[in-house]
Amino acid sequence: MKNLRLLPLLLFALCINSCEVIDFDNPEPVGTVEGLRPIYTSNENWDIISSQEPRPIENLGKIYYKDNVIYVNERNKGIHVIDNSNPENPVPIRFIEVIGSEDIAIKGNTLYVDNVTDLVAIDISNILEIEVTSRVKDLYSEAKKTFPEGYSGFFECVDLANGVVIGWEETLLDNPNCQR
Amino acid sequence: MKSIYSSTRLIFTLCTLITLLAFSCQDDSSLAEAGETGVAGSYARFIIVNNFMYIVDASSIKTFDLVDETKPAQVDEQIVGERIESIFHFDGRLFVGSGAGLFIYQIEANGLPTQLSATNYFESFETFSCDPVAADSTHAYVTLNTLARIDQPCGGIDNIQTNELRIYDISDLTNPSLLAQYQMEAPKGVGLDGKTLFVCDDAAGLKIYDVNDPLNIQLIKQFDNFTAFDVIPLDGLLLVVGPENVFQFDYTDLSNIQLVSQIAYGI
Repeated sequence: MKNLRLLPLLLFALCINSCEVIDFDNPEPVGTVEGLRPIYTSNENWDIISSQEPRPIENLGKIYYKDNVIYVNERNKGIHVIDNSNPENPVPIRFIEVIGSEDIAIKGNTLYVDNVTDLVAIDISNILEIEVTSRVKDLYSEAKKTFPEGYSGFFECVDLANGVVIGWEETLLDNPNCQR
Repeated sequence: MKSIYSSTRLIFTLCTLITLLAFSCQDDSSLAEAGETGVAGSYARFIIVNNFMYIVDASSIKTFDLVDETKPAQVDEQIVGERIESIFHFDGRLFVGSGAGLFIYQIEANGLPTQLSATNYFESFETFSCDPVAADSTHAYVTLNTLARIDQPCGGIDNIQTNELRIYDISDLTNPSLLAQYQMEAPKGVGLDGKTLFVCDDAAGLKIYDVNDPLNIQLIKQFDNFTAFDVIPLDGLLLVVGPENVFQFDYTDLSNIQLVSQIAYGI
């Protein structure tokens, strides 16, 4: 009996916890709707950048060109490095893994790329053994981590226990609790 | 036997020469291009001009000093507006495309940008579309599309239904004026080489226009068998990226534009 008296308090505490992440509380269930789902990296080492063997193209994003080399972003995953000395026969030579990346720029031998919310400078003078020369923390605001920036609509609430949000994907959501 | 030997020797000598030439060329180019920057597509959020890099996030433009290129150092930040999507550079001017309008900046002698104009696409800055931009000294070419995608931060349900190419007269950078609008499917990346305009019209593919007369642009060629996202024109060689491909086209002869190669999904 004594334990039962604590039940409402326990329920209240549970609610507080689960309601914390709700950006917009929908009083009525909305059913199945189109919206966005966060892509998490469970990898605690999301800030580790490495030069790897070429990997297959899956979902390309932005493109950059310098000195007969094409750099093209594999959305949220990294950069395909393609030797284009002969445009009739472009040859993928490396894949630079950069989690949560979209943008690329190069000056001299330094490649700049976004890594989730940071800006990273990488020495690519030896593409086989690249070196991060500097990291600017939080180039982008915290927003990217907790809600889809610049988006209006339903989305699945972020649960930071699942890891860092590296991007968002369109999907069908079942009664999402978050909306902007 | 002798002739085979001599031809082998000839090939060897030729290879040696070519190798030497290749190395000397490489040396020359690396010297000439030390500290040089490359070419970005129209969706770029990072643009390098001389010793500065300009980065747009959702609402602001940040300036980084690259005197030590290995260590970018932020020296400035200015609020631009909402739903900033891309930044383009031409001749000391920065063109910032947002979901609501076009912002033009001049790069001052100290490297910092100063806003020259802010042009809203619709009645106000409160309605949105998606838009990269390309420009030269007289005109800005803006694509607006309402195909909501999360990779476009301007996307969302507030989008106004607009899918078009717009041409602005920017001979007065402080007061751009709308010259023409052309209906498109869902135009995205845009690139300019002289008076040839390349438009990625999503599932409608790649469209190539003669824009000598902005009021009456002429379609030169359309490749509609793939989805095009962004382009980089490289003086006769066009790089086109779609979600699953990198295409290259030779446009040195505009009456005979040819596919040069492609790298496809899974490769």
